[in-house]
Amino acid sequence: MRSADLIRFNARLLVRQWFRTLMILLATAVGVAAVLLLTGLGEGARRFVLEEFSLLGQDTLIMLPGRKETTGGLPPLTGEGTRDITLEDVQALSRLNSVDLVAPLIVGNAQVQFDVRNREAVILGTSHQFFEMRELSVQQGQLLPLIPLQVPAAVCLLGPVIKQALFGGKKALGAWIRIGDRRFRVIGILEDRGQSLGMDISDQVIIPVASAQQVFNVQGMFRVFLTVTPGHTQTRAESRIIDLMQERHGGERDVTLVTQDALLGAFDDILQLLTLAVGAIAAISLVVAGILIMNITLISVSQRTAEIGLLKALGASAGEIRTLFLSEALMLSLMGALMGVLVGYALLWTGHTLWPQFPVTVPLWALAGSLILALSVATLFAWLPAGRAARMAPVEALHGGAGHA
Amino acid sequence: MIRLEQLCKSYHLGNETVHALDRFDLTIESGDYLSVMGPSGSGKSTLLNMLGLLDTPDSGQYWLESELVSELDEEQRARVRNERIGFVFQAYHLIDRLTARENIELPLILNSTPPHERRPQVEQLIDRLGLSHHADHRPHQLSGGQRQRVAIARAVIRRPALLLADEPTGNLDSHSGADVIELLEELNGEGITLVLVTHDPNMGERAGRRLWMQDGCLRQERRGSDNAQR
Repeated sequence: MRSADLIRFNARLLVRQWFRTLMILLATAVGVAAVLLLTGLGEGARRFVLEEFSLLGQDTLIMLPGRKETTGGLPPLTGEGTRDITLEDVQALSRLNSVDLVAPLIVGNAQVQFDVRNREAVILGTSHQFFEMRELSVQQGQLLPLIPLQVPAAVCLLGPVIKQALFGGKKALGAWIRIGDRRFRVIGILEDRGQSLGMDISDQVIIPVASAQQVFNVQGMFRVFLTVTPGHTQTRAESRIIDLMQERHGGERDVTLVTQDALLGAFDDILQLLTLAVGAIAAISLVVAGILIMNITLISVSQRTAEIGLLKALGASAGEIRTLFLSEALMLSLMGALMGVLVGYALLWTGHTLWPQFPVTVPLWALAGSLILALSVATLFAWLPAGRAARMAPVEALHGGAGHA
Repeated sequence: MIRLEQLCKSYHLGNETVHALDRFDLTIESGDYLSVMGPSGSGKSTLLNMLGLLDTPDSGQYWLESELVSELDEEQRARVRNERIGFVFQAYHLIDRLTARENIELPLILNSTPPHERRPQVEQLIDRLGLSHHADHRPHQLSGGQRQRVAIARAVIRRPALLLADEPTGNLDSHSGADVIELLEELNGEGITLVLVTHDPNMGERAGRRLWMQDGCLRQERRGSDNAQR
């Protein structure tokens, strides 16, 4: 039988039994769409997290006080050190060959006040290098000046949101504001960069690190950001940094270095697994569709017994009869799968339009996998009934399997 | 053309063994017109199924055009059925979702004839059997006689050597029945060997060779038209 004839023959049957056809198409389409939708969302979540983290920059190291084992599992994000990382430590680090940029960071909450307006805001105490590392820029004014770390200059930069809250439409540059119990001059307004690492920089105030030490009355750094000098390997730089800190802290290894890779790796693994898991759960619905196809094909075979007998009498071989029923199942599942792909992508696209920040991408393996699964499930489950049809003795099939005339 | 030698076939009905064909011998010449009659269960349908390669004998040999077809496997039998044998059934066995034309075309589709070769053959046959007005109708829109004509067209589209008809007029009134028989005889006149199983003595008497079967054996054979009751 020629393929075109086979398709036409099957198409006649599918149109004729449109309700049955529609049900199978729906079952398969729902299965495929579910796989695409769930893996698309999982992959979207993964990309979302990765994009957030990669804002840190590729070769950035984060030092935090306290020794934490980082082997296996997520590295610590909060740590209480036995010994503070001091400004002198930071200066010593910046003299290392393999370290390019160093930026200390102290974070705290404080009351920010201008005139009669005041707000609680997150205050970042850091240095000029921080802007370069995080690729921050100002829309007005200037960055933190390049001054020695120990100088508590009374200057600050405002995020656009907090600027709006304190000044409204008024000019903020050059104005004096109160942070905690100290006064600072506004020297710049930050560019709005949206969320990064879960922190909204537009809602924050940046001051020199020494000033932050005074405002919050702390000595130790909350974090130190370091970048590796281009051309130096990251692992070498890491060991240099650790060695230096050990030497300066009296032989005690009491700091932890976190690399972006380690952070990303941990999140990536978890989210990849999650995506796989939801994909697998959705795939179960495809298997259910397969069982439906098997039942429908079995019914089709017994309803069409006389037709099978006739086709055999007209010269159809057992192989051709098997092909007939298998191709019918395959056509059904292929159409259903394509419908599912359309529906799945339509839903994802709708979701993306409603929430543009969230990247939705169906991983290729999910698309290919769901299509292959749909087709192979159909073939697998139609094999048994198709084989039964193929084996029927022509004379028995002709008389409806009711025995001999 | 056809030679059956010591053909046996038995069925088990409960504890009883029924000999549908019991050491059956028969020779049919090319172009012969045979009718097979006999009481129910005499084995005439089994004989027809054997001739049509729809059923396999328990023992014995069957030569069709000097090929020992009783030794073929199912795939080869399917090919022989397609090429050399046409079937006409009492219940027509038309596929209802296909039009008359598509039903007639079916044997050509099954042997992968390209569409441009199929079309003229089918149209010519439709014309010849006077089915032009009904070619695009589906079987349930046709009368019994018309349906049987479509079924006959389907049986002879491959120009088979052997045409087997199992009670072809069983579901028809006498007028359309006579019509169908005349068509079959016309085809026989063109050289197709015709074997007709019937209950109706009037139909049976028209054949050149008249077989009478009982208990799986050939009881009587009469030849010629000398005592035909026309």
